[in-house]
Amino acid sequence: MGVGLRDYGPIVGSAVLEELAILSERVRARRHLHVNSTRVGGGVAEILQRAIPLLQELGLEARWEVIEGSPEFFEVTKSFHNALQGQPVPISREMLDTYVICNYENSLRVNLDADVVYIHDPQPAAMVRGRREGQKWVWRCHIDLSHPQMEPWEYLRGYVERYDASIFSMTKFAQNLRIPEFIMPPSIDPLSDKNRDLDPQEVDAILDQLNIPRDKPLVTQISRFDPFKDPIGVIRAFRLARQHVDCRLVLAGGGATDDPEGARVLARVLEEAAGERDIHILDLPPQSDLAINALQRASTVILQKSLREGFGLTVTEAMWKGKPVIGGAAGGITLQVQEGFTGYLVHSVEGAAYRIRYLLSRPELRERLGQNAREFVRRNFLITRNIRDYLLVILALEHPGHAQFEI
Amino acid sequence: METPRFRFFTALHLVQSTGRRAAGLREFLAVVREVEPESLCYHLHQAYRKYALAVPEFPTDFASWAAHDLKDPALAEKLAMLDLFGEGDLETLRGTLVRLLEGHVQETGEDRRVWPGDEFHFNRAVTVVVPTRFQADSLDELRKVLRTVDSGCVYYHLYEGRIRSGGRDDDFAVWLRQAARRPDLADQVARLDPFQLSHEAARSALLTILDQGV
Repeated sequence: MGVGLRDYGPIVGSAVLEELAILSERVRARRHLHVNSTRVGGGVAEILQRAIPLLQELGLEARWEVIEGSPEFFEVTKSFHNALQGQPVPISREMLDTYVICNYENSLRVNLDADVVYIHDPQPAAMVRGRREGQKWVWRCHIDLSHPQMEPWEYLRGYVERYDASIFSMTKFAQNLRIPEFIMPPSIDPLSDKNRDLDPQEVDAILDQLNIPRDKPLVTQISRFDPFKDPIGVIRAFRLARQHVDCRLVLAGGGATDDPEGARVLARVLEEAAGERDIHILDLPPQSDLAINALQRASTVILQKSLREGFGLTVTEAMWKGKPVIGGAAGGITLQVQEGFTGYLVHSVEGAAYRIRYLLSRPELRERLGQNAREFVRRNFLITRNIRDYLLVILALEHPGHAQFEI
Repeated sequence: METPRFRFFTALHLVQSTGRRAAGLREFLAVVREVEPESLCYHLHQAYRKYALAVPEFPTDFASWAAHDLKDPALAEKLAMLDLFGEGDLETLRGTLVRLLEGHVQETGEDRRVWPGDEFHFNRAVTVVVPTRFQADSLDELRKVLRTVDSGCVYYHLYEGRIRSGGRDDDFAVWLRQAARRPDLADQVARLDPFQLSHEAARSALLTILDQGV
């Protein structure tokens, strides 16, 4: 039997499930449709895989449709994605034509019979041209739009402003649009392989497979091999800290196999760590959720020393495992790591080293910060809150101009 | 005569961007002068809601931004001491806030700026008030139910109650004063300083007052 709402009760508490039941009751008459560009892989698909059955269990008529497109279309949307995240990528007239034609074909192919249509990310955004009378359309943007290339963004804005509302993951991604812009931080699923509870034996077995000894405290950073995650800075911070307290570093990430830049960063990291027996560099394959889960649980302290960051879901995951996090003061990390409450924010290699040393020397403090971190995630960043927010968006659209209302 | 019923509600908040932002002190002051009142309300009060587990370092988003992003600790200290519940309505509070900022700008004579990415983004919230299955018909029942409701209910009635009343009386104090006719307890509840109490600590403090009353 699959995971159901009842399984979340012991995690989030009965009050949260009662709130969801009341909200669903109020929006039950509407048919809900979510549309994105992929059924598997990526954070959006991960959330929808779990959220749609939960919405259905709440008594809602909720469906999930995936658009289809040629490899050429997905090349175009990849360029779009990069340009919207700030990279200077040329977007030609032909590329825009490919984008619009594919969206048009999908608006004919996809069953758009619904009262509320959520379109996820830029790939299917132009499908809004197929909206029908009486429908509410909401554009859910999961990407970092804080520094978009203006030309492609202005083009996309033309479609986005045809929606009834938009949703961004962080305030700084919002764009001063002519439609409401709601803020909905991402979430993690506490029952997924990446986050579910593991027995200590399972953790040990996985660490054995990864050849990570458990003889010293583990300091871990899990993230793609990307210069903005500052893996070299992490190694240098570890070396400084180790002059004072014995420990082992694990730098685990993926993305080096299909991303030339990732491969270059990994090579640089391996060179930096060469010959050091206490530094373990792991290039994890896709579908390493259990390995990541076990590494986070086995760690004494977790680092996310990013120089730039979107939201930083690896921080959320670490906090959910009750670990204090030392995070770079960047992006969404500052929304999660509360100084001295759930971890510490750092601005330099030395800052990271000092906090490693500080936390490794204070087991009681680690325990307390870790408990706070888990509670903070429980209240703010679990999938139940995400589902609640989707329901609230519908209610907000049905009460335009009301800052507060009772249901 | 029967005591009117105390019904427990909770509030759910959906955050919405206003599209306004400030990259420096003077810009910040300009937006504070004219931003919609819902945005001021959101930033003056949401820190307490968000950090339900502990008392936040600074009571408002404004003070927190001044300290951490604007790197102006003196301004943060001044903002931290704004009396959120002693000013009456929100426009009066806005006036006080504007005078505080103007005074600080004049005193320091500078227009401090933040690093790119650290701008203050002005949000607002859509608040959806949701009924719960909990209610109380007497002081004794209120004590019992208060032990079991979610901490979100404590927040809604204690903290947001004061925002709604525009004064120091929260929903508990109003009910104790008007329905249960216990002004002695109402006065004690109204003297609680929610900013110095986490939600759970606020629940405990309320229960101590009610226990003594019964």
